[in-house]
Amino acid sequence: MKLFLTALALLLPVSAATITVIPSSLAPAVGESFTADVLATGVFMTVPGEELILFGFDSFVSDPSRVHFVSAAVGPLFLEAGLAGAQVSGFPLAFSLTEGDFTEPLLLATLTFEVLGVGGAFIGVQSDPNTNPDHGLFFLSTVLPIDASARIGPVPEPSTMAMLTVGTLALCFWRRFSRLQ
Amino acid sequence: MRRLSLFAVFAATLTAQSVFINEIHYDNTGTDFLEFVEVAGPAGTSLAGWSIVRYNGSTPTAAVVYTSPTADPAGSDTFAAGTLIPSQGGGFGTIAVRYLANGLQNGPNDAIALVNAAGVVVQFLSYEGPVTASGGPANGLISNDIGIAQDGTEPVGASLALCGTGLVAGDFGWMKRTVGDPGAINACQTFTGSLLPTLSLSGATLAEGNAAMTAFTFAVSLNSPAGVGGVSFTANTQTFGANPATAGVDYTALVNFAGTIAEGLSSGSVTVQVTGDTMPEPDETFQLVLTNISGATPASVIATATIVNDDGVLVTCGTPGATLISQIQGAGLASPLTGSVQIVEGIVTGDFQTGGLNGFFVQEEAADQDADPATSEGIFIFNTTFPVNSGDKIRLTGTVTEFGTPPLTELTGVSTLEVCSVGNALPAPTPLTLPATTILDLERLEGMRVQLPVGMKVTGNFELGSFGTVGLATTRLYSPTEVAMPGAPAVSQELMNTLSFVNLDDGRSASNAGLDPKPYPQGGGLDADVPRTLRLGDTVDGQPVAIFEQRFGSYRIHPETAVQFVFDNPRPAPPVGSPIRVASFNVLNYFTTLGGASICGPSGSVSCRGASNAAEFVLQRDKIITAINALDAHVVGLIEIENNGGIAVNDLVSGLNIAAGFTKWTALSTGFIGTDSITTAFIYQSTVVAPVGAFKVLDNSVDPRALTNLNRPALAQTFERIGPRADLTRFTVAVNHFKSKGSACTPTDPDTGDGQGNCNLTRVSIANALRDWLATDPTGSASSQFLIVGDLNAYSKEDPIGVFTSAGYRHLNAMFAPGGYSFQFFNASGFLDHMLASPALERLVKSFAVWHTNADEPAVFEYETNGKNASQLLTLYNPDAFRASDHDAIMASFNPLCGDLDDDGDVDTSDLAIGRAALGKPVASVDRRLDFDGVDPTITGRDYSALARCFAAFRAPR
Repeated sequence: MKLFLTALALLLPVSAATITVIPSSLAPAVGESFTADVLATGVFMTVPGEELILFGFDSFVSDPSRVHFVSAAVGPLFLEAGLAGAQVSGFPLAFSLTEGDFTEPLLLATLTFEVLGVGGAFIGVQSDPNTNPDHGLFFLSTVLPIDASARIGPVPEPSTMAMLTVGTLALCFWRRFSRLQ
Repeated sequence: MRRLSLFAVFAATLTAQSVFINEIHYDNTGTDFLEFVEVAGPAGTSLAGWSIVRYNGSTPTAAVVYTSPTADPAGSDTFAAGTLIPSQGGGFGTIAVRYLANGLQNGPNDAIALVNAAGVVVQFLSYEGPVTASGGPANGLISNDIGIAQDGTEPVGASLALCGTGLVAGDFGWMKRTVGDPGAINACQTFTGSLLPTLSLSGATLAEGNAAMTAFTFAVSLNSPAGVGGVSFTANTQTFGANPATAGVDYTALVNFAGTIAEGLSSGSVTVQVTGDTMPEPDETFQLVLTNISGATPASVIATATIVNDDGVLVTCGTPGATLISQIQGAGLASPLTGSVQIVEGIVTGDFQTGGLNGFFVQEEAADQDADPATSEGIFIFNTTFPVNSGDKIRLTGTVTEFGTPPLTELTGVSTLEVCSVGNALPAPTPLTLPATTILDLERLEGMRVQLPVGMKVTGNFELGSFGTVGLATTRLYSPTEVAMPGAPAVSQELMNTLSFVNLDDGRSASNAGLDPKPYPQGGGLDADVPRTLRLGDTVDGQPVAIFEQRFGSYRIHPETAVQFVFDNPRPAPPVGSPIRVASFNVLNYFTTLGGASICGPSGSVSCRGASNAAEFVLQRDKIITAINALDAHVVGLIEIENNGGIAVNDLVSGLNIAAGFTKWTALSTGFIGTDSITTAFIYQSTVVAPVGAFKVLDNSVDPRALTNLNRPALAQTFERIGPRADLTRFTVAVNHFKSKGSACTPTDPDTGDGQGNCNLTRVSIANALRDWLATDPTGSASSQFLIVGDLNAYSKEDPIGVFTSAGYRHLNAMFAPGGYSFQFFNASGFLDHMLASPALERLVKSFAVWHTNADEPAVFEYETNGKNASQLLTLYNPDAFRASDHDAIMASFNPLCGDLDDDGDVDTSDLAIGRAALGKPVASVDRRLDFDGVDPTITGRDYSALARCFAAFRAPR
């Protein structure tokens, strides 16, 4: 998990505040809803002295047949911003948040998901600040990306799952052909 | 001009028959005794002064008067005053003059004269042979012998008497009687019958004459002299015959003419004046009718006059030899028969022989039109000598001529013209389809009666005041490069304009002061005070019928009845905007140096422009002042103001402030700029904005590409809005006046035919220099807010505009006023006046508008007094803003303080709240300034970031 997040961070164009997604349950049952907090830490680490004025991002699920996004609520320091190009957006209650205005981690939003099917999945948040004018963590002079994910449930690695499926099918065919013979 | 005159002449010869000698006794057996001469006449006739004069005809060739013995009583042979003929029977009576003995000679050849009170011999009778009088009242007259005589055997009291039945002497015959009855109606005589003479009217046949008037005299005759009170009648002319003469044209009608024949006269006449001309035509007739005849018994009361053609041989209507108009017109731009003499026959559709066109239009009758729509059925006849009227069917001979460029096909040198018939229905009008597909589609209608399409728009009125014409098109036309790119698209647009256009003319050539009132609009023509104007964009009501032709370089129509307009482009109120308004206004050569001499410009040797004299300047100044104060911009870039070191602009500011009632305006003091007699200038409202730093000028010394020997230098000044953090509100305005298209910039920059006109490269050159100069922030504004304004003498699609837009400048005209215009040129509209904003400023613009006070209005409302008569100087001028100049003013409003969305002069949480509320909403639904990056369809996070930066900037300490 930690390795995955680190790898993801390396792909980002700008070194950013650290965003994490913390699910309320790692193995929710089918039919259950669960929440996930979107947290920011080191918000001003790369932009010291800046003011946070707005954020906007989209939710992400790896397999919509298993988990789907239901809703989001911005954190207590924010108001819904209603950006057209972001699923979730908010601006501070005041004009801006500066260092010292809050204790980290900063809760940007809490997302609600619902489990639809058996098996594990990734959930998360994603942004595209370079092309989407509503995405990112907006400071007065710059915009940082908001990207993070978490894994839900005891889900096998996709490659293991595929091998298992092939093996099972092969066994079935082998047994069928054996009976015929 | 035919002159109306009428008179009648009466004449009569003297024949008196109503009083006559009725009985004579001059001889009897023995001594003559009781001789007498009896006179008879209508009872009541006065004989005062009448007399009986005796002639002794012993020498018949020289009968002499004798007076002895006298009448009895003496002197009674001259009737005394008060002598009236008594009434003795049948309305007649007798009086006898008596002689006692031997009073009358016994002959042979003696005579008696009856002489009236005027001394005129009424009757001169003789007996026993005729005589010739020598001396006395009958001197020289030969007597009428009565044919019978007394031979001296008759008894005393016998007589010679008129016997029979009648009223006048001629009704009776002389008889010898043995017993006379002097002083009484003869026993053998009965007076009976009508007293009235019989009246007869006879006509006249005369050659028409070639000029002026010919008198046609109708004789009115009586068969006997008019009685007491004379004869009176009423005479009227009337139309008559197969080739009727036309009253008012061919002759002067008599209407209820009162005629008389005086008592005693037996003839008179009535004269009608016939108009002479040299036009071959049939013999024409009219009649005279007498009514209300009193004093005579009518025998004939209608008589005919025949006006005999004396103007040469007629061509004959309907006979072979005529050429169809369609064959003369042909299918091309010019006639295939140019130069040939042709006979045509058709209907006169429009008579413009007076008013200056000097001719008329003839169109082929429907039956004679060919089936080829490519050939016109109408033609212009250049002729004023043969008068015609609309509806006349005529046959004429003339020479086919092409007149003007492009040419109008017409017939000139008309040698014969016959009016075949009058009052014919006109050929049905042909629909005028616009835009035409090709020029030939218009050419084919030349000279024809057409009907306009519905909804024609006024697209030109520059010559309404001068020549009475109005440019019409299916829609407002635009200068080609306003709407099409230079080159082939513009050339194509130019053709489309031509195919969409027709000039509405007024059938006259009157112009300027002589064109009074102006022919349009309805209600009495142009009037600045009412106001009654005709603006571009107004609409022709209905579908007028008109003659279509080509003249003075354009196809034009002469309507049959006055064209009415629907005024659907009314005069607009000034545009509004806040909080800062910047305008650009070409003030049409505002010069305080008057008269046009070559004493202007920095060198004192350039031709002055503008008002010719002080009176004109007052008119010009008042209109400009009204316009600028009404526009109420805070910064005005002026174009075409005199370059005289600030005198002109200071004069204007002085006038503006007096009109405003306070020191509202300040002129930016620049001194002379450049070398021309005109310059650009700034005036501003110092309570709202303040200049920051010094003005700067772009001329050849800064960048040779400015070409300021031809272009006017650019003048730039940074301003700021007065208020908190004014430093954040700085914006720089550069006002410009690029080289016009009016004349070629030789040798390297002529009109290339691409639609951009002369000197495009010269304008492009300064545009490049200006773009680069502003990029250096020449005024040191430290602001990215730049606004280029002025008369760039280039339309919106032309290269100089592209120079700026390619560099990121935003063309406010195109963004805010698509389909707009600021200038009218040759019946087309377009923007010569522009505003181009840097991106940073454009994002702050709230509005841009054109105040259409000038481009849409007739030029004749301008201050110029030339070409106006005294009345027009009043009616065509009003010190209002309309046609204060030839260019419309353009104005942008913006708030130079970014983020001040509520325009209250600060950027605070109220402004943030506006921004936050707009997040995610469509751009079109919110204040356009919220779309800071101008990219996305909604207000985005990036837009909000920009707002936040404005907020932060304002919040930061200065």
